[in-house]
Amino acid sequence: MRTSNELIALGRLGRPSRRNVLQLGGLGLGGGLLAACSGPTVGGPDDGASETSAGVDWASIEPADEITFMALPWGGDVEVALLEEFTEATGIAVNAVSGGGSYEELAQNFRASLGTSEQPDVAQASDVFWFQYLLTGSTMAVDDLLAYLEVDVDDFQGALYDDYEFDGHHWAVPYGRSTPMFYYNTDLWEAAGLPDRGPETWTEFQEWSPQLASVVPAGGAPMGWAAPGPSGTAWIAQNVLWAHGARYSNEWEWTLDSEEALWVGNFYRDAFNGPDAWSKVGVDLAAEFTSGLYGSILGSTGGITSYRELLPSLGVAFMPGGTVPADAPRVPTGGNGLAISATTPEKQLAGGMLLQHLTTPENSARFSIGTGYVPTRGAALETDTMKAGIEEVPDRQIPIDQLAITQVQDYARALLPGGDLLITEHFERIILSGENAEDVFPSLTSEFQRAFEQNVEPYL
Amino acid sequence: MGSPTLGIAVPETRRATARRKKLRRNIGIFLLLAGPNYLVLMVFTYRPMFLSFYYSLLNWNLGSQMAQFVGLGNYAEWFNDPETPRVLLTTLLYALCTVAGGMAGGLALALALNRKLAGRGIVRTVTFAPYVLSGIAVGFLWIYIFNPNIGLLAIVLGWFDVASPEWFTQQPWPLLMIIVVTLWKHVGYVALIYLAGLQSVPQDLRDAAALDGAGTLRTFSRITLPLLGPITFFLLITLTLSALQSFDLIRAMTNGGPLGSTKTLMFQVYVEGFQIGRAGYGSAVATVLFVLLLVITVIQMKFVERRVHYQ
Repeated sequence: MRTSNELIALGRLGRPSRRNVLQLGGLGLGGGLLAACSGPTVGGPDDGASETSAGVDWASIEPADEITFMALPWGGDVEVALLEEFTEATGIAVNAVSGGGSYEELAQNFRASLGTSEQPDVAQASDVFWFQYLLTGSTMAVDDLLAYLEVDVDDFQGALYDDYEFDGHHWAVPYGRSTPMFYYNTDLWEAAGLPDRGPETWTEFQEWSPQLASVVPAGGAPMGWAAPGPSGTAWIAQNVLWAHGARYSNEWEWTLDSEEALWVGNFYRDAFNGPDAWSKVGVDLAAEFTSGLYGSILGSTGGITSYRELLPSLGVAFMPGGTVPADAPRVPTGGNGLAISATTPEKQLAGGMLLQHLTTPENSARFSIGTGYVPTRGAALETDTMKAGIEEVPDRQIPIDQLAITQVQDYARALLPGGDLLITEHFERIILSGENAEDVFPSLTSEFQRAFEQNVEPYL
Repeated sequence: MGSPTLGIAVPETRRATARRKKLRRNIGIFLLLAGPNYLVLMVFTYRPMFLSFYYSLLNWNLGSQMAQFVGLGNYAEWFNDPETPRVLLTTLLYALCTVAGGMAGGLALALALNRKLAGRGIVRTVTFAPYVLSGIAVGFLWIYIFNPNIGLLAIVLGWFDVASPEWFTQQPWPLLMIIVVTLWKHVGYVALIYLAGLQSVPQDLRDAAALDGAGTLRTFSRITLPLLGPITFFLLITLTLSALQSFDLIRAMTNGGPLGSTKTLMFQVYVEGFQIGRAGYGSAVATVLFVLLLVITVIQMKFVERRVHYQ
């Protein structure tokens, strides 16, 4: 039996056999590969992206001839047209690459491209990933560059622009932004004898639910909810929490131990469990709602046009309130922004010019009408494009009006890496297993803290 | 002093030179023929493997240029994570059901297809087709079938006044649903491989068994099944490896939920590494998965292969 020492017999190296040569070659190659690991630099913690572009004399920089733009395909034809117009106006070619089919895939593709020749210069960043890009040093603060380009940042919708603020800088500009909306089936509303409006509060909806339950078809429910999953449950639950004076977190302080938060957790439990349950989890929520299975659902602003094509009796309303005053912020913002991830000043400048182009009031209005996202600029509302779009579908005005009661999302959901997923997993315990908030939220709080200590604190 | 040995030394030197030339030529030929494969293996198999192990020793967020060396900290965290037993159990349950079910179903299907039936070629093609479909496409297709509210299965069950199970939200249905779809996708492949094996079983052996009075069942268990041993062994290994690395159907249908009930080791690698961005921890889970695959394969090679009868 050959021992490991015989694999390469040192005494025979003077006259090596072919096998010896190959073994040595294999070992050498393996060792070389290990030594050539081209991953991160091992050492102290990252000092964060923190590329603020301060000190760059933009006036002395010539923009690059070509930049790469990574985005989801949700911008459709209008985005293609906007990019073509940008190239025509500036001479800067835009290499548009797909980031996948969801925000999670977009983030995966973006991060996988970093440090490679495929790294984009401008990338879409969803509300739960832009901060992770910042933490990993992948994006730059845009304030100085936008100031040089004379972009009127004060015209951005306040909550939408402030979403990307951290440490005194903005790390993206709002682009495809949305908020959750309350959608209802007016036919079922009428059959149930309810007024043609959304509920003012969650408790009012709870009171309406027996009437709705009596008119929805078998297997239906007064309200259908998207199956728990990232980007849905945790996003919308902020509305219920905020409406009742609770929240996931106050910056990096976890606040799910408040009486109000526990009440909301148990409100969720009772909505799905027990004899008075009024909610059901859908699998294909849009199809099930438009086929008349549910009295209402909560969904993104894009539904205003897409649901209506299948459900003419569509009603649209603000998200319900709760115990806070009716005009108090209670609706989370959502969607995506545009971040600059270019590594040279020339490409950064070209990227800034692209941001400027895509977010002009007119282009913001065109993008809003073409996709269903809300316009990100105040001046967009005054454009003929936006006015015509609202005249065509008056409900487009509702999410615009709702912007007045939106606010920046909680750190625990939007900034904490994996926070969205943690919230979803724990809300599943409440929704699907009927567990009490008193048992679930302490565990969620511990997970928040663990994720913060592992993935945020070392990088701040 | 040197002259007496001079006559012997010259031929030895020539022989040594000839040996070296031959060795060099052999190495050259070997590198020419095997080198490209060797290089591809190194670059696309061993390099990522080594890198994955290296990253597993780091606290590293995907995309970050900096990382901290944490030694075996990621492994310690994984072994102490209360979620780990559930992930392991889900992984093993899924592998066991899909491998055993796939082999049993595939063999039964192969036996059926081995008969002289009208349209046998078409049936074989249709049976194999799901295997070549994209897992993501298959997953989305089956969502429409399993949807308990408006899905095809719910409609069919409704004809018999039977309520559809809550496939996506109530235990144990989500994992069962994934297993069913995996079986549907893989059973045609297993059947095709078994079919090839069945057609190579010598007819004279079966005839001899029949002459000796063996019935169909006895002939199958004593003649056919043992002769299918090498194929069964091959399928056992490939299906096990495939099951433990399964990802696409889970991603498309349940995304690892609900309540983590369909989160396998492979899916955990994806969640930690790509969804959360903890590349170091995700690499540690990937290394654990690799070791598990290696151990299972070695055990199969060592113990199961002994029972295989080669013709």
